[in-house]
Parts: sequence; C-alpha cells; structure tokens
Amino acid sequence: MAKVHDLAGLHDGEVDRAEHPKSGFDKRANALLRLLMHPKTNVIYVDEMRRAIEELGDERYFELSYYERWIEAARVLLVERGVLTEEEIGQRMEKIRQEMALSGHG
Amino acid sequence: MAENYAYEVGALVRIQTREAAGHIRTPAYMMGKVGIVDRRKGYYLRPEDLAYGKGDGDPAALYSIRFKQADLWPNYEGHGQDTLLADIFEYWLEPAE
Repeated sequence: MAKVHDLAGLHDGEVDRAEHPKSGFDKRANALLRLLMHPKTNVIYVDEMRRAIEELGDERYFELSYYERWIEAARVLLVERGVLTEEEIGQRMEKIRQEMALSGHG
Repeated sequence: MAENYAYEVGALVRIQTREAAGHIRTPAYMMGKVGIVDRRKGYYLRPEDLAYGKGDGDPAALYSIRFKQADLWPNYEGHGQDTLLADIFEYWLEPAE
C-alpha cells in the first residue's frame, strides 16, 4: 500500500494552481532547512527529511502545511542525531509560549 | 568508479512492485508498468540508505525511463503520443522483453 504522501494517480479533486507568496514562517523555515541540508554543514540528508515527513502519520501529514511538515521532520531528526534533546526543545517552546501570552499573542 | 550498467538505452524494463517498507523514491503508480530506457544518468547513493543517514553505501545506476501515458493511467484522454519521464534506480528495474 502506498504511503500517505504518494498521491499521484489518486482522485483528490482539482489541483489548486494558485500562486501564493511565502509567509515569514515559510521563509525562515526554508532558510533553516537549507542550512541543515547544505553540503558544507551536512547535518541532515534531504532523504532523511523526506523519510521523516513520510512517517508523520496520515492525520498529521494533512494537518500541517508544507513547511510545517519539514520543520516537524527537522525536529525529529535533530533529536535522532543528538543535536538537540526533546527536553531542550520542549522547554524552549514553553518559554516562547509564555512570552507570546505576555505580549498578547497567546 | 567503474560503471557497469545492466540496461542499454532502448531496453524495455518493468518497474518492480514492492511494499514501501522504508523510504522509497519509486511512486506506486508506476510499479508493475513497462517503460523504455531513455538515458543512463550516472551513479548515485541510494535514497533508501541516505534516508537513514547511511552515506557510505554502494552507489547505484540511475536511469531515465520513458512510459506511455496511456500505459500508466486508466482511461487516459490525452494524446496517444504523450509520454512521461521518470528517474528510477537500476535495482528497481527488471527486464521486460
């Protein structure tokens, strides 16, 4: 059975060909990914990223936007590679959440 | 590195059918389908290895395979001459003559 991302040939309605500008999040995600996958830094292979995205699970795959999927995959792989720990990430995310709540973005 | 391609340009090949147990770059829609070798594209590390961080595996031959669109899609309504090109590794091919 094909994986969730392997959609070619399946009936899924019309392809939306509308162009849309990259958001600030998209641009920062793209920059981070290029850094991680660059031949000079070589922290992560693009193939590993694709594998991690394919393993997000069907629900999560369709819940997330294109760059959100890549960032989620990067998180998984950075932990796998021992660059960051889940604890470090979780604590940092909590700190950001608190800062956002204070500044009214909660 | 010695190149030792198994298939000539013009050879008829079938894409193998397999469960995607890990990461693969062969889309399901072409599994079991027959195409023709359009070009030999060199040797590259295998995506199945790189997907798990293994950067020291044996490189494999990559080919550009040409399919008839009418062979790939049921009830294809486009032109009978329409083709599709896809890059497929040698270890995903078998002879189809």
